[in-house]
Amino acid sequence: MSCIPQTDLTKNRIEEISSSLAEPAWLSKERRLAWEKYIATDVPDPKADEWRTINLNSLDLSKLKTTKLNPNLGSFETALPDGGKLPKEMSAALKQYKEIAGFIWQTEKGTQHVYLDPDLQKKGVILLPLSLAVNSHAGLAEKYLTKTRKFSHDNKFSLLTEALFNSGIFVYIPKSVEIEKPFLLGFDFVGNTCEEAVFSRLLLIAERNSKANIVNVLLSSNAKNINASPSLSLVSQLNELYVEAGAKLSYAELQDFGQHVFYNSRLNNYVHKDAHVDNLSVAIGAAQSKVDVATYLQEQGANSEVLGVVFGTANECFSYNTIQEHNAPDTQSDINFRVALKDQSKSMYQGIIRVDKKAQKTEAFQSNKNLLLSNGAKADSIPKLEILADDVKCSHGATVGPVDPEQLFYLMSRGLSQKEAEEFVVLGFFNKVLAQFPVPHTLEWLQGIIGETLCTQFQSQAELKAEAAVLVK
Amino acid sequence: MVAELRQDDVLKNVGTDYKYGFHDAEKDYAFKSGKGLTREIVTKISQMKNEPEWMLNYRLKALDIFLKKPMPKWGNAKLLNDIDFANIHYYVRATEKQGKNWEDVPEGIKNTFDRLGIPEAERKFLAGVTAQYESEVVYHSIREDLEKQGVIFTDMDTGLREHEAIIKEYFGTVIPSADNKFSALNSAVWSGGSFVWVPAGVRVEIPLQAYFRINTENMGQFERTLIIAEPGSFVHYIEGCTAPVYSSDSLHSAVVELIAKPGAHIRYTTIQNWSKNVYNLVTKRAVAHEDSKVEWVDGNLGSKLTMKYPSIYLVGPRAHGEVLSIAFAGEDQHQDAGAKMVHVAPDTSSIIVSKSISKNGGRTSYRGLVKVYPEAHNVKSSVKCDALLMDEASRSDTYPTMEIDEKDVTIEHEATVSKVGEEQLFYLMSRGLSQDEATTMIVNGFFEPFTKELPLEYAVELNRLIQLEMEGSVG
Repeated sequence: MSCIPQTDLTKNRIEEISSSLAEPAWLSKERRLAWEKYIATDVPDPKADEWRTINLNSLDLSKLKTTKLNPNLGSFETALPDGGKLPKEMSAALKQYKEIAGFIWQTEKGTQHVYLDPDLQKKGVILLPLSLAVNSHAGLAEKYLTKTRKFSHDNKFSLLTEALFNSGIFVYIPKSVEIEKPFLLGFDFVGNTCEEAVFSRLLLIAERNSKANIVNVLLSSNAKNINASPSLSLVSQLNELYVEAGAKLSYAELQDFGQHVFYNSRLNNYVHKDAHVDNLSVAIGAAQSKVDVATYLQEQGANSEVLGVVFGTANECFSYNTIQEHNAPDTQSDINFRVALKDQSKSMYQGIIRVDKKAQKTEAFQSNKNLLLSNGAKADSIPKLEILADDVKCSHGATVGPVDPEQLFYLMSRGLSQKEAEEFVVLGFFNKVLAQFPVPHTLEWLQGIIGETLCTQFQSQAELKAEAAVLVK
Repeated sequence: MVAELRQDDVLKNVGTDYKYGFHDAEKDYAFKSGKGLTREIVTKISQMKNEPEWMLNYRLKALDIFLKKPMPKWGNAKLLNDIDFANIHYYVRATEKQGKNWEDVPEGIKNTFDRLGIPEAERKFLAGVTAQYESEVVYHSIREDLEKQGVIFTDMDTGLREHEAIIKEYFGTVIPSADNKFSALNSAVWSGGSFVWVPAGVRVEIPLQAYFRINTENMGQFERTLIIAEPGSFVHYIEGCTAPVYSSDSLHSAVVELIAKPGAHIRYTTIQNWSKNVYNLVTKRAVAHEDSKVEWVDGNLGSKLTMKYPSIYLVGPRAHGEVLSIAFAGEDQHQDAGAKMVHVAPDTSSIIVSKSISKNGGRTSYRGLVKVYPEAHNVKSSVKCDALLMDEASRSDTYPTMEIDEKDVTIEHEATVSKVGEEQLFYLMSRGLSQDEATTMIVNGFFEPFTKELPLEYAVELNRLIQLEMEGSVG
């Protein structure tokens, strides 16, 4: 991997990426259009609600160097990798899920490992690095990648991602193909001491009446060896989920980057007639995280469930923004977002439910609960409603508070120390959200990972799980 | 009826005064400032009122701030940007008897008075025909009682002349001129409003109403109100009324400051029913000291655009704040109202209840803030917003903000938006009510937590008014 001087974080970089990846002309055009939007968009206002918990000064755009992909785009394997060689989050996932439909392992150096179940290959399922798919499946890629710009937003980093992405993943589930075992995607930001920028895109297409489960793991396995530099590296992602009529797609994302990462992400769910999408975002890492999750309910009967779990420690800052756009009648959306904050960590949750005039019979719900675990922690919540139709049921609720003393008392009366009891309560608090995600084994896998972050003193995971289970009841 | 109340059709732009045919001859006014806002006009206003030097300087400084501050970009930015500040008379001092004629008051307003059962004398006052409520005798005894208790209740201009020391100490301490563009505007050109001072330990049993004040500068375009409740005292102040208040001024920008000293209790009730050509951009804020209690009871029915967020700064331990508000937006109306609770001290608590109804294309927005500063332990705050949408042309928004910097707190927020329940309607109609009656009954019930906090005569009037507004809303 080489670090390119900052001057390449410019429009010239587009041609460079396009030519080095031998991209089709329409894609270069999309990149240029996105660049123009990027230039025309105001720089984030550090005082604006969605940015004020984020330390924008921690990112020095003039110092950022974009990583250059290794032209060798990884190897296509006929088997899954040995779990022992993967970071613990990934090996834990492999162990929990047992059966995997497909697997991609990428680092900023390039794609390391691609595996797809041969039976699924025969059914027409595609799992590829995006840079290959834009050529090998140009028709599909063009059809969907050119749609992005029609859904305008003003996240400058996401627009930059659209212009400069140089890595990514393409997943395609053909009509009526139903896959129960999950796809496991992983991105390891290996990083080094120089301030780097990685821009990647995920494009997921679930055709009519198909069904798929996707699990995406973002981490930096090398984080402990990195000398924290005063300005951070940028990992910026644009993830798009097209859920066509009658399809059912579940997407879970675990973000556990190191403290040298400024994470920016935009997730767009496009949900069509009678389709259903589930999202689960779990964030336990990165120094700064700015995440937008937008759900566009485009056709009658579209349905979505967006779940979020944030656990902040140290000086981590989070800004989560959920957008529920009801653009058609009889649509439903549900948001359940829980945040627990320790140390000096900060979180801003903003959620908006927007109901268009024609979206009658909409049902939209939003819940945001915040647990403050230390006096230095700070939680802000802005749940918003903009309702233009009259025959709707919309509501939101938000709470902020410490751990309930009664629950603590109960647990402590069973012999737990205050610290242990608090950790159980937090785990139980998160469990309510995690358990809603419909892909089997996800709860156990994430419980293990959050539990490990949360309760370092517990003797064994088994004990933890047993007691957490009691708590949940 | 509703159609007759729709006056915006006549009024296209703000700032162009006297479109209703209230073309009073210049000679009817003791003084009328030229259009637009300059240092000369501000100086002239201050001189006309024989104000002390410090107030003039205060006004001039505020003017500079006003000119420098940008227009807010939130709320209804489109309507705000329509305001033509250069086209407004910033000061019109009316003579003892204003020259407006009862005949000039629009039929719609007169009919509404009729239906609400507003007394004859009050009608003229509300229609702006007389500058004062002509029932001096009725209220004379009330004023005497207040004087005996040592309560000061006067208009702000008189207050500044007679109680300069108190006003100098508190004026602008709760809402500095630089707070926002409209508080700066008010600070530069304010005129009228109420000044209330309640001595320690005194309970003012009857609600103080602006009507009781007998003088010409009763209601102003840029009124300024300051209420100080000394330790252990109680006062209930009522501003406005349920009947539509007809105003030819298209921009109203008031500043209201409340100070509740330790153990004091202030309740401030507003029912705003400006005619539907008015921009009502108001800054209202209270400071609540130790063990004190402040309540804003806030009803918004009229105006074209209201932007009003009564706030309470809970600065002393165990202070309690409440905002209870309703908003009703009909055609071409935007009620952007809400509440702010700023918890600075430990053991403080607050409750916000907001109810809104949008109808005939109207838009209601709840915009609120609950802020808890570090070290403000054991804060409890609960926010509840309910919105009813009457038809598909209307809109309802909720923009609450919670900023919590302290761990030991209990903060709750809930909001719902829905339409009138089919089941509720069905139930009432099965008991023999028409759909209209049933809808009105449900709406009245929806507003009930608000109306039950009002003095009886207000509650009765408000219910009648809602009935009027709801007429013809079904079918």
